[in-house]
Amino acid sequence: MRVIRTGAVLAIALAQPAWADIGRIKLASGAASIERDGKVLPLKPGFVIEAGDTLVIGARGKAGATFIDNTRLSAGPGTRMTFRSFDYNDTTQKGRFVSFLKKGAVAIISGRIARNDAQAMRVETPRNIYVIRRARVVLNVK
Amino acid sequence: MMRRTAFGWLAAPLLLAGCAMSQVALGPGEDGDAGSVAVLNAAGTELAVVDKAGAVASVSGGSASIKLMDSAAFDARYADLLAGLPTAPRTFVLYFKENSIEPTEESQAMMAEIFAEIKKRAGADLEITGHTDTVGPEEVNDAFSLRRAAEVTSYLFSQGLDKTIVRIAGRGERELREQTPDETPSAINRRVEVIVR
Repeated sequence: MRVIRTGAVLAIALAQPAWADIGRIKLASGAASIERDGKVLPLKPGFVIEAGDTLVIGARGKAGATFIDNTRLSAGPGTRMTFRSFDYNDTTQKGRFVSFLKKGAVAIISGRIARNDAQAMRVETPRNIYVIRRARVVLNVK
Repeated sequence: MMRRTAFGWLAAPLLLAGCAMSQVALGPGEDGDAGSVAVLNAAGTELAVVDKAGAVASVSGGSASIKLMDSAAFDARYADLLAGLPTAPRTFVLYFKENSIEPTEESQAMMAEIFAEIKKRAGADLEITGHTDTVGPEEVNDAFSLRRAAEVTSYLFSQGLDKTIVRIAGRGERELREQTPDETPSAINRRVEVIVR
């Protein structure tokens, strides 16, 4: 019988509240914000991204984020991108990540969601859909 | 076969001006493999699959056209955007004594390095994931791997780690570092990975 220490139980309990995160902003400059429930939230490193958030970058702004499945994103000036849904299982490392790039330009390095399921990472645009399978890509919408 | 009239060619730029156009460029992969991107129309029908580094697919008016640029040109053309990508996550692997949640001495020494890495990264967050070897049933290992991760987390908390930046996971015996048959003890597989993002 292996005994679990109280400290470890506490650690699990304490880490729970953070689990609404889908990712974090790592860098932001110029006009860069997240729109959430009608509010406009300014970005700085460490900002916690949630499913449903819309990333809005101004004409001279930019932002970079890393998601909890290790997907990395860089958004350039004039970008508007909504992280529509994000499901992720930490144990199986499978999930589904759907976002909507309305306009602008982003670079993406796919993470575990794309690696573990070839259909699971989708970026929708006003005219079409991209399914990213383990790749380093730049997407543009004009 | 599609035929275009002279009028069609003239009209196309005018129509494009009013409608959204999108483009994907596939870069050389970090591990040398470019991977691929499927291009679908809005209804979900596949228009093309891009799988060569340097390929650029442009979509407008319901069809995709693909051009190939020199794959080396990718990094130059998108330099600004690529520079905005966060640093790749870094993984630290901690090992454990057999049947124990005690890290080995070397692994204990690695804790300081983990804190140094967190300091280097603006807005850092951590994933602390436990793994077991193949000894014992899968469900037991799932639970045990999570406990191992929690032990490390608890220790890092006691050393001052910010509690709001951590996720804990147990992967059980799903991701062996050393491939072994079932029911095989392995010090390499008994580990906790601390991933600093």
